Amino acid sequence: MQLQNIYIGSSSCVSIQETFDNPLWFESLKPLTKEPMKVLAPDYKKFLDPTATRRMSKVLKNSLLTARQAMEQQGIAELDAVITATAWGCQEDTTKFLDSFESMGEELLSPTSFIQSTHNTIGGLIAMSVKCNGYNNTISHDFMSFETSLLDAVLLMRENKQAMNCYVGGIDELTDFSAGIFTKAQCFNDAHPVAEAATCFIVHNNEAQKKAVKLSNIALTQSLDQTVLDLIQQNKPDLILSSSVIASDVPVFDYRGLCGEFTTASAFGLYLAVELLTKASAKSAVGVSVAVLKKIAIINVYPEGRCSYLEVEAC
Amino acid sequence: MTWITGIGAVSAIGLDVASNYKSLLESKDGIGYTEYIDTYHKRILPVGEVKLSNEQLIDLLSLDKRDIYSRTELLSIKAASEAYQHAHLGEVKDRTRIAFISGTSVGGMDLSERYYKGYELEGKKELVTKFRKHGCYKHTESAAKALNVQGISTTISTACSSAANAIIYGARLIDAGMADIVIAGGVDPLSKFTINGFNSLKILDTEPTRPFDDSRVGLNLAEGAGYVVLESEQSMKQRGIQPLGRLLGYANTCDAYHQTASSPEGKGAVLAMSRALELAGIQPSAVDYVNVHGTGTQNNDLSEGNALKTVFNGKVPSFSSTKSYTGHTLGASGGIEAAYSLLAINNGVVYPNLRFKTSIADLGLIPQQQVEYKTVNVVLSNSFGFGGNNTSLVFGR
Repeated sequence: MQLQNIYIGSSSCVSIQETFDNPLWFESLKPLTKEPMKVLAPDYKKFLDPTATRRMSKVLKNSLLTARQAMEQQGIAELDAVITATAWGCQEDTTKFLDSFESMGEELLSPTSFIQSTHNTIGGLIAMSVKCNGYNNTISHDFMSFETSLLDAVLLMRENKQAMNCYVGGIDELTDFSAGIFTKAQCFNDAHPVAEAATCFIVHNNEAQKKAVKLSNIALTQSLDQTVLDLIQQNKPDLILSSSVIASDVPVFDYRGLCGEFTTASAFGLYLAVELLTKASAKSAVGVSVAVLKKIAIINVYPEGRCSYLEVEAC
Repeated sequence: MTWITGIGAVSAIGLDVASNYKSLLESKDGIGYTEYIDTYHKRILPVGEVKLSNEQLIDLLSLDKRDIYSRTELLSIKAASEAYQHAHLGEVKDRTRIAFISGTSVGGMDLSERYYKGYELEGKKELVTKFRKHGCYKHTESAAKALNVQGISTTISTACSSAANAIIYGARLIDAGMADIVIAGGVDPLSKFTINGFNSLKILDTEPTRPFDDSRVGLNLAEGAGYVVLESEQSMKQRGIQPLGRLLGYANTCDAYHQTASSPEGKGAVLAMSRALELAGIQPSAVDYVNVHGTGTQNNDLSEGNALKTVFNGKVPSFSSTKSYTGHTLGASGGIEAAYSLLAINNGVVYPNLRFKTSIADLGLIPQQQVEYKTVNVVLSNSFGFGGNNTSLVFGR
């Protein structure tokens, strides 16, 4: 679907790179290892009230932090919608609660880890922290969680017509337990280590507000089929961010070589696209050799089928 | 707004829409002790369990017995197939124009909790299958595949409002022209995880639940699945199919008050109901029946009751909680109750709120107490979740 008047205003990311609170993170890239890689944890005390966040898992803290930072950068104190994409949800609390009744029996259990185990915990907490009574949705659809969340924001703004600021986050957590299973079961492509991230965007439809890039197209198909190839042909992006082999003349950069492999990695792909279109020094730092960069497509192919095409343009 | 051309439901009160409807009219609940879950609470906490084992469901659905299925997948395929057949979707040629949007709270948790301790010992193939099935998305993809539906598919996980939000997502896809037909709803299985989770919150009743009664102490956890077929006017006319009703309005809001409890005045609930009616272009006085969220907890019913009084300005229409029949099916409830809402419209009937005796002291609201046949043009259906997720849907003739 060709989009009009939809923008990404600002973004924030906690990842295995030093992306958080560091605008020039790409100048000191961390090499990927073979082992599962966890995010570089920010100094939480510096940004979050330690008492209020004492019982929160890492994924909740990272989500709150990135949401607040993106809002700050956008210069907004309120949100109209909170849309969270997470394939595996709050793994740490889920396993903690499973372990608690396995080890302590089913009486006298503490509810804390159960309360924090549901996928919508993240969106609920963000809404509470910024007192957002508006639209609140959580989408959990494996490798398409982030794309279908972005589409949710687009459809919401299309329907509402008035100016809106939507938080759209792509969040996945790696625990020692899930890292063990992902590795043993080879759930993902072997080319990159399994990893995690919390990446978010302020997506809006307000021409007058701060705009980083324009979100110009979003398409979801059954596979990397002719529809997608036709989109590349017609829209002529200068660069494709993808981990798949794509039959076209457009250069392809595998962004998972920077962020690792996880179900909402395409959110990092979009984050990188924004960085590439807005920061002149990013291109050479990450190793993209394209002379003119105005339009980027992010193509994500699901191991079990299905494919997404996102496209952003410089403003 | 979109049309509805099919419904499907499986719950503790019936394996299909017809048997659910029969139980509703006979005031027959499905609450009892679990047959299939090995929990300490199995003879303490009654639940709303679907009266078929996984093996029986596999047989009924003619699935390959050699595969491993989560109960989530089985219940989803069961109810979605019914909605699919009801709307005659087998005859639709362009399969890419049919989308499948489903909601669930815990996905394949029933498998995960049984097997996660042994993961290290498993062979690779079994491990991949079982662990993949934990994901919320898996039942959606399995059902879409079983029905050869090739349009957009995604999964919503907003706890108890999951199915209702899936219906909203589906309606928007049709409005934007990204699908002609959407199978939308939700599913949740009973699991040791959720039984213990809700029990740790001390909101489960050891007796059949009494929604909106002054003596209510909690909910009965339950399982099931419910789906509706949403369809664009053009597609419906082209296929020459009779609609069951329309989705007139909807709203998703957030209470943003507490992680598990609702605000006493029901702020998010008021916003959800009033915005849904506003989008429908309907005055509150035109609502004939409200299928309330009505879990039977102290907190929900008081908060929802206050919200109803606010939205309807004191003149609350006929309302009932059908969770007094089914128990609380979590992510499935919005789908099952959408099916009940459409049955109410098509048959001109409202269902009683079972076991009601005394109205909540601070509220003075009396729910529907008997089966009553009357004209039902507009139904408001509420699904309010854990995490502050409030969704209201408005169905019409």
